[in-house]
Amino acid sequence: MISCTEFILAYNELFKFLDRKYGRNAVVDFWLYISDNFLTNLDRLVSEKGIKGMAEYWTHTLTEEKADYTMTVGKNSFEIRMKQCPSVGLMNKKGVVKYPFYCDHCDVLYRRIIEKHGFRYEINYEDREKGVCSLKVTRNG
Amino acid sequence: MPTKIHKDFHGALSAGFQYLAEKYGQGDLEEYLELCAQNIYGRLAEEIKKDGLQALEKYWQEIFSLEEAKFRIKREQSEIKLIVAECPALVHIKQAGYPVYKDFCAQCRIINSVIARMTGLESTVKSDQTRARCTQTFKTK
Repeated sequence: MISCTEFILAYNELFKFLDRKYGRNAVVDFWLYISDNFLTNLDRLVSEKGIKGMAEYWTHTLTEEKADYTMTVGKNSFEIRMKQCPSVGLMNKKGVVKYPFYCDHCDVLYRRIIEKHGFRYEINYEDREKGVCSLKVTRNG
Repeated sequence: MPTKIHKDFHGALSAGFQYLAEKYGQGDLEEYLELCAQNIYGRLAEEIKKDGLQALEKYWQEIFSLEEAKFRIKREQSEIKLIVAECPALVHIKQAGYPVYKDFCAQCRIINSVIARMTGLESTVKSDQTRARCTQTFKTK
């Protein structure tokens, strides 16, 4: 069984595999599939609770992943400052070859859901090697 | 108190297997799992070559305890068996309501066979995916 603690390594391998065999667009297509077919819990939370739903989703996932981050939740905005991404941290620790566009999955997977519900989604990759980034969501209008 | 882990990763992996098999075929899923075995479990294979079956016992004990699985390990001089009474991955995927890929257990069959190839051992996996049970065996040739 590929353990939860090995999942990130397995997903990284999947991205590399798809890119090598079918090109970068095939990786993006896979991310779109995961966003539409697997992240239905985030979609439901944002649809029902808006920004509070985002906070609920990421508090749950980032706590379980033991991420080093801060979260700011406002009436019309939501922000995560990732000090060290747990996925990037694990890959660095294990010394595996990272998929060069690994971090882009957070843009493709989540933007699609967040924007659908009337929010603006911005992600800024400050240091892909160290896993430092920020995500900002603001309510449209 | 067990360490909390992000078990939804099992569901994401199942979705990945389904996507690969349906879009690109079973052969690609198998090729991908072979790569996973080589790139993720190479260190474990090295430890098995160095320390024998006790390295595998240590690994299984750690991973399956962390995942809060119902399991037991039976080790003899030339053989080790992992008896999983309740696979934590399958149980979580079903409880969370995610779709289970029809041959989710392929991961254990293929990864174990590659580890066996790397270490000069023989491996078998007898699984009952519907009941979330399996017996995994490694033995010396």
